[in-house]
Amino acid sequence: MKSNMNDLLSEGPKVINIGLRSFYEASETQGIKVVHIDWKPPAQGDIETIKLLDRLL
Amino acid sequence: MNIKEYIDTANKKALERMASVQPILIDIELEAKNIIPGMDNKTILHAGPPIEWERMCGPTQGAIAGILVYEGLAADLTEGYEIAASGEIKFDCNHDHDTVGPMTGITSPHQPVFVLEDELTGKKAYCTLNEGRGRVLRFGGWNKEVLDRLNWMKSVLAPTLKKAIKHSDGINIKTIIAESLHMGDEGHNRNRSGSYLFLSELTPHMLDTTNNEIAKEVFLFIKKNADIFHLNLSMPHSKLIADAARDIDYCSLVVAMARNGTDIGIQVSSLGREWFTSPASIVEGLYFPGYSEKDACPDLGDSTISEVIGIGGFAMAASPAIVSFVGGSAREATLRTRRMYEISAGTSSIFTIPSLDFKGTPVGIDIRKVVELDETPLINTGIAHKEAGIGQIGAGLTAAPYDMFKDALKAFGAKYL
Amino acid sequence: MVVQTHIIKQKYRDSVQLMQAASQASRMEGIEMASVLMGTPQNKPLLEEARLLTSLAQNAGPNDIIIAIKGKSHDEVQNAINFVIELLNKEVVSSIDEATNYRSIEGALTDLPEANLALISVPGMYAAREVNKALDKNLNVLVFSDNVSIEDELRIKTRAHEKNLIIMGPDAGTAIIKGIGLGFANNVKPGPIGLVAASGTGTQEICVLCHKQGIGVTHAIGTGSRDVKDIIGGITMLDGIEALEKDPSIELIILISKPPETKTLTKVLERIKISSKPVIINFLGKKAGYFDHEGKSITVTTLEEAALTAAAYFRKKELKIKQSSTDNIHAILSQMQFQKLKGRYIRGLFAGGTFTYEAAMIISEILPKTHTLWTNVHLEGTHLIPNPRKSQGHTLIDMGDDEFTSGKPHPMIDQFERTKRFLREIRDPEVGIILLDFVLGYGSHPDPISDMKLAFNEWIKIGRPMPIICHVCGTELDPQDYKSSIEQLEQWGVIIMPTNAQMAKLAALFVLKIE
Repeated sequence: MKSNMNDLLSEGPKVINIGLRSFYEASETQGIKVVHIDWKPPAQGDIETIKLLDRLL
Repeated sequence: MNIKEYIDTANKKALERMASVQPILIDIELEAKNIIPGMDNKTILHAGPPIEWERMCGPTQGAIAGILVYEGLAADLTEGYEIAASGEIKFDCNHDHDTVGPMTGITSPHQPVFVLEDELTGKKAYCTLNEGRGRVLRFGGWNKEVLDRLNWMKSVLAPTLKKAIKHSDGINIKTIIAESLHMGDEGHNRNRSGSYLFLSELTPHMLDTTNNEIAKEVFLFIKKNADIFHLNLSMPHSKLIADAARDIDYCSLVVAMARNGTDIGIQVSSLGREWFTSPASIVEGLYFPGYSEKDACPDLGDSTISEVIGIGGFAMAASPAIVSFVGGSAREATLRTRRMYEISAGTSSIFTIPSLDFKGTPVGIDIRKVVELDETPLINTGIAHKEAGIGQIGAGLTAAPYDMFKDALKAFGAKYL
Repeated sequence: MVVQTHIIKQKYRDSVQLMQAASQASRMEGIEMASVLMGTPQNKPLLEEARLLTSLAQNAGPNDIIIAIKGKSHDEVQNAINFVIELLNKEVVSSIDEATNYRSIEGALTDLPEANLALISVPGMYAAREVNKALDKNLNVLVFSDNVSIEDELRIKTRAHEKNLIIMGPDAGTAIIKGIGLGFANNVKPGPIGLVAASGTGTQEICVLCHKQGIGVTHAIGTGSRDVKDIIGGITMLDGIEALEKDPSIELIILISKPPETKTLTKVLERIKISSKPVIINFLGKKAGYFDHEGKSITVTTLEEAALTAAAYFRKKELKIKQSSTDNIHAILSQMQFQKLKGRYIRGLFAGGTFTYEAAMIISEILPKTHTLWTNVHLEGTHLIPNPRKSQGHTLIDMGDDEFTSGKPHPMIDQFERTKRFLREIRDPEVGIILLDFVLGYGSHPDPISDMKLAFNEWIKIGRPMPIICHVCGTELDPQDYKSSIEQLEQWGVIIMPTNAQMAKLAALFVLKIE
């Protein structure tokens, strides 16, 4: 799983897409490996809980 | 080590302990009060987190009224309700008595119970015998047929099985479930293969210990109810496994998840016996003729112990036969299972899914991941009518509510930060 | 009420499938109750209880499917029965959406363990958190999200740098990695040019123009707009130069950014000095000669110049500024009608931020000081417009600015706001000429030109002499239909300029000529 900057440039992107679905689709169109994440705000967006998670997870 | 590492280490330890449990069916105790800890003639156990009589759902109240008739404490159902409401009877939840029960989960002093033991530690778990389909007590159904069946189970089914089980060296339920996942079961909503495997283990011993006539009667009862009979073995098996993960300091995994038709609750390894609860949800499902969602009782039963140890909803991909609950496509079932990996601490070494190239099922619900991702455990379950006496009206899927996981996480944070 | 049953002989479907068919049928018009089950002895009592057990159903065998339906009329019931029969004959069709398989980076990595880049476009307040999760897994990151705090930006970039990973962004709209467009990017042919850029549309323009010059671009590394502030210190820019220098496919580096802050500028210039590959510098606003070292680095003023200079380098192996000829502009000017003109102001409605900035730079330089240029980009020589939603005098507006995009899609994706504004401008008697940019490529609107069809028709209908100049930043390889987009604009009578710089120049000269 080690990938540094120059591996990225020499191998080309293999993408994990977090957020806008259109970017996932654009990557697919270009024929690269891409996995989309069905993202939701962490802890339903509750700041207190997010802070708690930052310390625990 | 920082706290995250403490937690990860604790969770790993919990998974190891769960994996090492070998739940063996060693006996049937004909009267629950003789073996279940803290049980006496006036104690009735129920599914889910603890709840007082007034807040119990219709099916649970009805099942309690009925079982009081069975117990000989009430002459009829009406008197059963009166006695139950009088305060004379002590109610408590199964989980805190090493016991589990499907749907209303009613366990009474004079019902027979399966006795499962972990080979390694000698710890035990208990569960009543399954009544099969149709109008049954566990869904709050009650009439003469229900009572007659319960009496037959006590006088014929249980003693016959007991003799056969004692005659065997004990039956390894974990082995049966592992195999049944390769035969289309997921161990919660579909138990048909498990029941058949159990029958094939049991039958030779039954033939050695009982006359043919009765052996046949028992055999046919289990065969007729094959899609559900093994659930009452699967559940105490899961209970033994889940209990092995209890009381590990820093462990953030769920060790019990159960519903009483009013509330759903979880217990977390490092947080002792405290229940974190949310209102039980209405199950999205398929209904028997003439019934719909508006007749449904909120989610009910201890059977979600299955999901706690990585079967049931967590093994949905293993069970094409019931994928119609999720729209009918096997890939959809795979998706459901896949998502459960995201909230689990690890994968099972024994329960595997053929369609995922024999990948282990997701196991160990981590409250941190559930809250982070807002992805709650998927539950496969039956649906009871909200009024007592009617019984099962459908089956389906639901996701556990989010809030109780958040409350548990807060308590976890308060304890360790 | 009508009760009707239908038996399908010798067919098996499992009970859940049958229940599902029943549940769908029971929701049909005029249907009160629907039951579909196998004719087993256990099932018949269920039908009886629901009063659906007709004599036909009574006689069904255990391997037959019983469809029993109760409804208002014979027709409705028959209709439901037919529906169930058809449903049971159908094969199960999967509605599964592969894009909803995973919820976390950890989960996605089980599917793509060889992943090397996380593309993050979640709301800004959550972005840094997701970046850290990606860095935990040793992924390079492109952060499309904006509104990431500068402190977070420093933290994640420092962390990435230590891990020898790169963070493009935050607020990096465009990148090309080994010929693959990420975010908003054009499809250009690969080649020996590598970009490090703080500007999204700037990158797109240079890539497109290089492509049109026949030279390819293999990598374009987006740094994000704040990378060259001293608090960040150009971490991504410096790492980007380093990476391009090491990459054997790259022979020439182009750097685009607003001028870095003092300390960062020193660092960047020091780095360029020791670069083993020549660097073309386009620090928007810095003039030719700003940091030129024979054969090593050269400063250009516009995006267009950057591309032309790069192309000339590969033709002649000489690092020397190449400017575009102005013949084309003068030819167009000479054909333009000035007699009936009423308005005399320029109005530019831009989708690209750098396009706005560059156009403002060019126009303010050409127009005499008596002209005031109002914009919502901060640029010396122009004035900050008091209300970006209301034009005054010469106005150039970046419609992708926060003012317009907070909570709304970017004008490169959704032109609703821009079209509305366009319709206002064409009715404004003070307006003399309108500038529009259209940015094609991955991520952009699938057909931005047809999208504004009604607005252009409106302009034609008004019939007032008020030229529109457009610049289409795109290539014939882009997912949009480049050729028909151009033809469409020509048909409407819109003037099309090949570069943003030429569009701006034409507009400024047009105004001079009115006077």
